[in-house]
Amino acid sequence: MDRKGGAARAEIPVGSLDLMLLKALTWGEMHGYGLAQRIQQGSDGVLIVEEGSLYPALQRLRKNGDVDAEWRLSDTGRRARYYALTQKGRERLTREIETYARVSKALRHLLAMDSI
Amino acid sequence: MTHRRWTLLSLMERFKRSRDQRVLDEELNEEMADHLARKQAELEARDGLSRDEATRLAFHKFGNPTLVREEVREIWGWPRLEACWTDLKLALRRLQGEPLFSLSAVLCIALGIGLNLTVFSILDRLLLRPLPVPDSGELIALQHRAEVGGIHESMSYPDFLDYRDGLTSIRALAAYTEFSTVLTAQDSTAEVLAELVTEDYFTALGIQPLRGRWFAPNEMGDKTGGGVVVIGEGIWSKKMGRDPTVIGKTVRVGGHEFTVVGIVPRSFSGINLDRGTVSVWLPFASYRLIDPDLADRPALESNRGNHSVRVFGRLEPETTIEAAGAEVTSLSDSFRESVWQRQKHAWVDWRQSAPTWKGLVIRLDRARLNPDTRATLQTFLFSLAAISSLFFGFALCNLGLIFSARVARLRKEIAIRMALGVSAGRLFQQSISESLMLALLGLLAGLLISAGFTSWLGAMYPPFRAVTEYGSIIEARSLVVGLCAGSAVALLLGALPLVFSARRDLIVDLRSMHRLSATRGLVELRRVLVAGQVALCTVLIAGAILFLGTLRNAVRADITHEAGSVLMAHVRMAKPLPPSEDGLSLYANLIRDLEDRPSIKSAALVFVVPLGGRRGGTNVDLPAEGDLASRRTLQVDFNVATPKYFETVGIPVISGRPFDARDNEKAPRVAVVNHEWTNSFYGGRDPIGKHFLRNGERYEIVGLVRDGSFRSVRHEVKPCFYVPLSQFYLPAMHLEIRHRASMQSALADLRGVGLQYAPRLVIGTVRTLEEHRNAGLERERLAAALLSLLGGLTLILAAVGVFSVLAAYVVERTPEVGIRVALGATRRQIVESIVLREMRWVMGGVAAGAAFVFAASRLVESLLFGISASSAEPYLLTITVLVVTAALSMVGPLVKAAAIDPAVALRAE
Repeated sequence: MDRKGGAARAEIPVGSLDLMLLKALTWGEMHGYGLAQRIQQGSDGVLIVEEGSLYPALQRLRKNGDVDAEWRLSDTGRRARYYALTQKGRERLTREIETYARVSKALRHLLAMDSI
Repeated sequence: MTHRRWTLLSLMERFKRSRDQRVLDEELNEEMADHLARKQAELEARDGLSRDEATRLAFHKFGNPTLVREEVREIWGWPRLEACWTDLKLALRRLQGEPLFSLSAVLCIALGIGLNLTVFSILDRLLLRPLPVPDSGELIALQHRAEVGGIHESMSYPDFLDYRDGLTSIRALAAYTEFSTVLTAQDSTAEVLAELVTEDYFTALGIQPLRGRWFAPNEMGDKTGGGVVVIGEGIWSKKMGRDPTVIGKTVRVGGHEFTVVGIVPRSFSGINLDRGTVSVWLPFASYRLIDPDLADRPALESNRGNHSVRVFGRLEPETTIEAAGAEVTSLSDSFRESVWQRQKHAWVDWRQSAPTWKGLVIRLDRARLNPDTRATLQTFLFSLAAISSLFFGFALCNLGLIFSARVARLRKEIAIRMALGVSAGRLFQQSISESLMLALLGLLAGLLISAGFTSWLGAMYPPFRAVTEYGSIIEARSLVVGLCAGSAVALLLGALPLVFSARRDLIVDLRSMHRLSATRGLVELRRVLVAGQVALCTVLIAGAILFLGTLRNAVRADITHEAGSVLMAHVRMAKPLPPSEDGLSLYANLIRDLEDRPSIKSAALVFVVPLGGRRGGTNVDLPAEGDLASRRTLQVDFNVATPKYFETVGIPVISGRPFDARDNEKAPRVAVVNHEWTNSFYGGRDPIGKHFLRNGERYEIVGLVRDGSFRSVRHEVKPCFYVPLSQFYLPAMHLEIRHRASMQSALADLRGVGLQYAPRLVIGTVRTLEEHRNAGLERERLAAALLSLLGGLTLILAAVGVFSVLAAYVVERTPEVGIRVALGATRRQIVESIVLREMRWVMGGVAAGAAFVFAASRLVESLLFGISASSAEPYLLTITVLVVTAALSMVGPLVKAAAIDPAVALRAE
C-alpha cells in the first residue's frame, strides 16, 4: 500500500468506490479499515482506496440504506464500527454489476475496433 | 395555530438533529482513531517502522481528518443554522484577536448605518409619509393665498362656516385650532398641545377611538363644549399608566375639569407637525372655559377678524383635487363681495385688509408643516441626507481599505488553510461569517446611535419632536433596511479575501517572499478617497465652527447675567381690568410677597424681555443741546420696568441710579437710557440729568445701563429708554425672578404666591430666561449641534481612513524602506518623506473643502451672527483640527515604519 506499489497501483475510477465497497461487504460484515484491506487484497494490490474518501463513502451508503452499521468490540479490544449489507444494498449491487458489465463490454468492444 | 405548531416541531427537530450531530461527530472520530491505530500497528508489524514513524506515516496517508469530518457532516445534512452559529462564534473569537481592525470596521458600519437610519427616518416621517389615517390621499387642506404675503394657513371661523355650507365637492369639512396648555391627570402635570375641533374633525379623518367615543352632537352644540375631552394614547400611557377605567374620569385641562370620553390611538397625534404632537382634543366651544382672554372678546364663531382656525375635509368620491380647488377659489371670490357688503359699516375695512385673498386646496399630507418650515426642513433634511449618504459611501470605502489591508495580512494564513485542503466554499463561508459578525455588531451599535441621535434631534427642534414623542424611535422598517444594508456590506467584504486568494499562487503566498504591493493607481485611488473624506470633514467642521461662533456671540449679546437662574413668566390682570391704581398696588403686592419668600432673591416686572422677538417702539422729541425750542423727533425703543428689574436680570447700571420708590405716579417723569442712546444723541457723554419729550411730557434721565438687543441678536441695538411701571402702568407684563440656591423651591413659591393672587392675576407658563433666549436660536443651535456632531463623526472616519491607508502603505513599502535604511537614510528622513507625501493629500482635501465652504457661505450668511464665513479665523481653526487629527492618526504606522529593521526587511525579500 505504500508508494513502492509503483506502476501496478491504479486510481479507483470515479463512482466505482461504492460498487467495490458493496462487493467487499458480500464476504461478511467488516469495519472500514478491513474493507480497504479486502479491496486491496482482492485486487492483488492494484486497487487502493483513498482513506480520506473511504468514510464519507461508507456514510453515503449508510444514509442511502445500502448498508447497516453496528458498533462491536473488535479483535484489538477497541470498539469498531462494523458495516453489513442490507437487502436494498444487495439489490443495488446486482444492478451496479450489470451496469458495469454492460459498460465494460462496450468499452472492450470499442477498444478492439480498428476502424469503422 | 398550525403555523405555530410547525415552528415548534421544526425547533424540536432542529434540537434532535443537533444532538444527533454530536453523536455522529464522536462516532466518526472514534472510527478514524481506530483506523489510524490499525494502520500504525500494521506499519510497525509489516515494515518494521518505529512507533513514531508509523504514527506519522499513518496520519500522512490518511489525509485531512477535518475534510473527512466536513464531508460526512455534509452527507448527513449539517443543520444550516447551527453551522452558521458555530461559524459566527468562531468569527467572534477571531475578531477579538484583532481588536483594532474589528473596532474600526464596526465603527465605520455603525456610524454609516446610524446616521443614515436617523436622517432617512426623519425625512420619511416629516416629509414623505402620508398622514396615518385611512385614505389620506382624499384629505385636503383649505387655505388662502394673498397676493402679498403668501399662504395663510388659517382662516376665521365664519369663513369656515361659509365654506362648509357652500362647498359641494368636499365633505366633512372640519376646523381646528391648537394651543399649549397644561394637563393634570392623577396628580401629575404635563405641558401638552391641545386642539379645539369642530364636529366633523374625527369623521373627516376616518379614525376610530381606541377606547370610548368621539364627541356627541349635544356636546358639540353646547355653549361651552359639554366639558368633555378626548386624550391621546401616548399621554394616557405616560401619565395615567394606561388606566383601563379612564373613560368617565376627570382630568384638568388648563385648570378646568373635563370628563374623558375617548382615547385617540397612538398612530395619530395631530395633523400639524410644527409644534410637536397633540395630546388633547376638545370640542371647539370649550375655548370659553380654557381661555378667558378669548372668551372676553367677540365670540370666535362670529369674528371674521380672528384668523385662527385651520380647515380640512375629504374630497367627495369621484372628485379631483383640481375640481375642488376651482370650486373653493370661485366661492372665495363670491364671499369677498358678500363679506364686504356685510361689513361695509364696520370699522374694519375687511376688503382693504385682505384685498386679494383666494381660497385654494392642497393635499393635507403636504399641509402638515408651515410652508416656510417645510421649505427649511426640505433644504435641511435633503442636505443632511446628501451628507449622510456621502458619509456612508466614505464609510464603505474605509471598510474596503481596512479589509484589503487585512487580506494582505492574512494572505499567508489563507494560503496555508487552502493548502491543507479547506475548500474555497468553506473558506468563503467563514469569511462571510466574520464580516456578517462585524455587520451585526455594527448594525447593533448603529441602531443605538440612531436611537440616541433621533431623540437628541427631537429635543433640539420642535418639528422633530413628532418623530420621537410617544413613538418608537426604531421601527421595523428601519431595522429591515439596516439589516439589508448590513448583509450587503458583509457579503461584499466577505468575498474580498477569496477574490484575492483565488487569483493568487499558493506557493508564492506560502513562501511569503512576494509582497502584496498595490499598483500605483490603487494607491492613488486610496489617497483620493481619503482626500475626499478630509474635504467633507473640512466643510462640516468649518460649518460647525461658524455656527458655534454664532451661538457664542449670541450668548454674549445677551446683556443679562446668569440667565439660567432667572425665572420668567407672562403675567397680566384678569378681565375686567381694574383701574390703574388698583393694578399698580396689586403688582406691588405681588413683588413684595415674592421677595418675602426665602428662595427668591429679587423679583421684578418688565414689559419687553430681551431677545423675545418683540420690541416696544415710540417717538421722542429730543431737544438740541440746551435749546428746547429746536428739537428732533426720533424713533427709539422703549421699555417699562419696576425698580429691581436691572438687578434681577443682571443688567449693570453704568452711571446714575435705577428706579426706586421715589419715582411714583406723582413724581416727575424719569427714564433710564442705554449706552446706544448716549452714543447716538450725546456723543457718548454722561446723559444723567438730561431731558427728552414724549407726547409732550418731559422725562429726566436718571440712569445709564448697558445695551441690549430686544428683538433678536441680529437686530441692531437701538437707542432705548426705560420708564418705571409706577409712571407708565400696563396691565400685561413679564414677571422675572432671580432665585437663590434651588430652582425647585423658587418654582414652588412662585406657584404658591400665584395661587394667592388668582384669579385677579393670570400667570403664564414659567421658564428660565435662558430657555427664552435659546428659543429664538433654535435653527442656529440645531445647525451648530448637527454640524459639530457630523463633523466629529467624519473626523473619526477620516482618521480611520488616513490610518488605514498609511498602515497599508507602510506594510507594502517595508522592503523599500529597508533598502533606504540600509543605504544610510536616517529614521527621521524616512518619517519625514512619508509624512510629507501623505500630508499633501490631506491638505489637498482641506483646501477643496475650504473652497467649498467659502463659495457656499453666502447661503448661510443670514443665519450667522458676529462671525463671517470670509474671515480667516474659522478656516485656521479647521485646518488646525484636521492637521492635528491626521498627524495623530499617522503616529502608529509611522512608528512601525521607523522601526523597520533593514536586515529583516531585506531578508524577507
